[in-house]
Amino acid sequence: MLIKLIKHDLIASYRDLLPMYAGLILFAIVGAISLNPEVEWLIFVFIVPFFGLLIASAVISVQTIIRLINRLYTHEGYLSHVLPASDIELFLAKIITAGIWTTTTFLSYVISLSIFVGLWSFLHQDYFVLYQTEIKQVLAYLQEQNALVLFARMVLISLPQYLVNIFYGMSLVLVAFSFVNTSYVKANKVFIGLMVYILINFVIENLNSNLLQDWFVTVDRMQVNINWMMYGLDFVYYLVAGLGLFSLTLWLNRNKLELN
Amino acid sequence: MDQFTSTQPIYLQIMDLIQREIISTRLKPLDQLPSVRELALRYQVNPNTVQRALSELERIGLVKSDRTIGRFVCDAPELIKSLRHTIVQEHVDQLTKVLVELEVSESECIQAIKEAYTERKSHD
Amino acid sequence: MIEVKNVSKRYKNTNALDNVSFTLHAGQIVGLLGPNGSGKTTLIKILNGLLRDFDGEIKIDGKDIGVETKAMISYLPDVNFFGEWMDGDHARDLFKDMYPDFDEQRLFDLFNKLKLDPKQKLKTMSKGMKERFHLAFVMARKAHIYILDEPIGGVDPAARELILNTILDNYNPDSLVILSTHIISEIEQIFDSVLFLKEGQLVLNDQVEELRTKHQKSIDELFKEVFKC
Repeated sequence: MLIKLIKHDLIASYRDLLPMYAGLILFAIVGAISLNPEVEWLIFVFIVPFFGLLIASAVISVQTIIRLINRLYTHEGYLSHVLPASDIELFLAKIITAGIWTTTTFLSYVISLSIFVGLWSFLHQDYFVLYQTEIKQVLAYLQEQNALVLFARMVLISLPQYLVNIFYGMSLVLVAFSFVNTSYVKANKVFIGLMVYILINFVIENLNSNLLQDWFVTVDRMQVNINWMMYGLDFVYYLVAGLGLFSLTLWLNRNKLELN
Repeated sequence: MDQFTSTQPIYLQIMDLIQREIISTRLKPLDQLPSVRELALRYQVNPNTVQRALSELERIGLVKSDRTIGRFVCDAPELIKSLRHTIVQEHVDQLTKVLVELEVSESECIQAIKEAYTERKSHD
Repeated sequence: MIEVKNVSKRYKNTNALDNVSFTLHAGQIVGLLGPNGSGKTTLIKILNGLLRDFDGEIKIDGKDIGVETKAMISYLPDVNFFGEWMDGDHARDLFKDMYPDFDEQRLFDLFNKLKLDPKQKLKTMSKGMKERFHLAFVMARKAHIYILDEPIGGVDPAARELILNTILDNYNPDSLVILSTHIISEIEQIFDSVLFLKEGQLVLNDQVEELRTKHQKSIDELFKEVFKC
């Protein structure tokens, strides 16, 4: 049942995302073509698209997630909550779907950024000719330090962190939505939902930085040092927070009312 | 509730409708009756109501059920004749009661009936 | 099949439901009647598991309300529950996946009878078409219990007849149909029994034919009498 729920959640939302990803890539292409290094500072060429695309990706993610969860509480909720699935399966499916879309959005971001950098570089090869020696030095250094392998390792190591953060983040969104749709809240749902999210997030993050004070990853030149104990604690912290919030979501839904 | 009155149970009214079909020979002995479902759809009523009407008709011997096939009009000419007689009698009683009260003579009454029949047949 | 014992749903100022008890069996078509605000919708939501917080006990086929009872019930709410982007094919895939009792052939027949196009998206349909669309899907399941909330409200006589025919055509002695409505006169002849809800209380629970004989009125007339202020 869980797989079926995820499948249908994906089917319901993918048609909204594809045009947005296309838009992202278009934005990257247009940006690459229109950004003129003679007029702007060189730094602009990389900061603006980097942040521009990042913000666009973040907006896409947030919008997708909100639409996904909202379907539980609009008229479509009359279908979702009546399906022969437990609450746990229903909400877990939303979390996993959100995780999948967050990841695909992040990948589109990376792809768009690469397209931008690649296209821009291709169009302005003269720049690279100018800085040829410096670029060659950097590349040699990276190769010497096995940068690619290092990068792959970093990705793998941050994977559990990434997943637990999605779990935590999504559980928090579910709590906000669930709370706003109970009999406790009658008006200003968007505002209250946002406040609940910000408040709980603030408390949990603060607690984290007070309890777990050291960074667990430090980078010294090309050497990456990982404090595994801190890493583990941080992971467990967010896992526990996520589970707590997920349980809270389940509890709140016992008290909920449907809205038309 | 277009064709049914509100005061009498519907199953009785359905019984009445089916009896009329039989008396008029639109449904002949050994003819198969429509299924419960078909009747329920035709009259737009609950199937249980139809079931009850048919059970009652079975009980009085007008209809019999063959488990696997369905329900049939009984080959009971005597019963049908007596039912026909009863219903005709009821209507005639009512008519004569009114006309006698109006001091209409028997021959005037019969004349009126003849004319009414002629009128009706010309409409068909 | 459905046992409701002393069920109440209390809010601060009012009782949406007040000590309601009744039992319903398979093979019946039951009318759940009452004016707006009488507790019909609350009761229906509780039976469907949309409202979990209530006093009293409910057993459906001996089970508490949960995943198993949800699988037994085919529910037609008074709102459209499919997304606007969906068409018949997508909705069919969804129902096929989620409900083992879904009958694709029956859906096909119903779509034909109700004159619906499986390729048409909901957002391009008229209000009446959307309602027929949802009815088709709910009736295409071979469920133990059908709960229809105001299926004929605000619908023209031709459509109403179509809907009643669909319900009657689908009837089987192993299923229970609960139909909630405030328009009684046009459909009272399809009920076996009726439940009258007034301000959260069950004021009447009886077989329809008995009521007609006893009170010498139609159910509609009886209803108006019971609910006149």
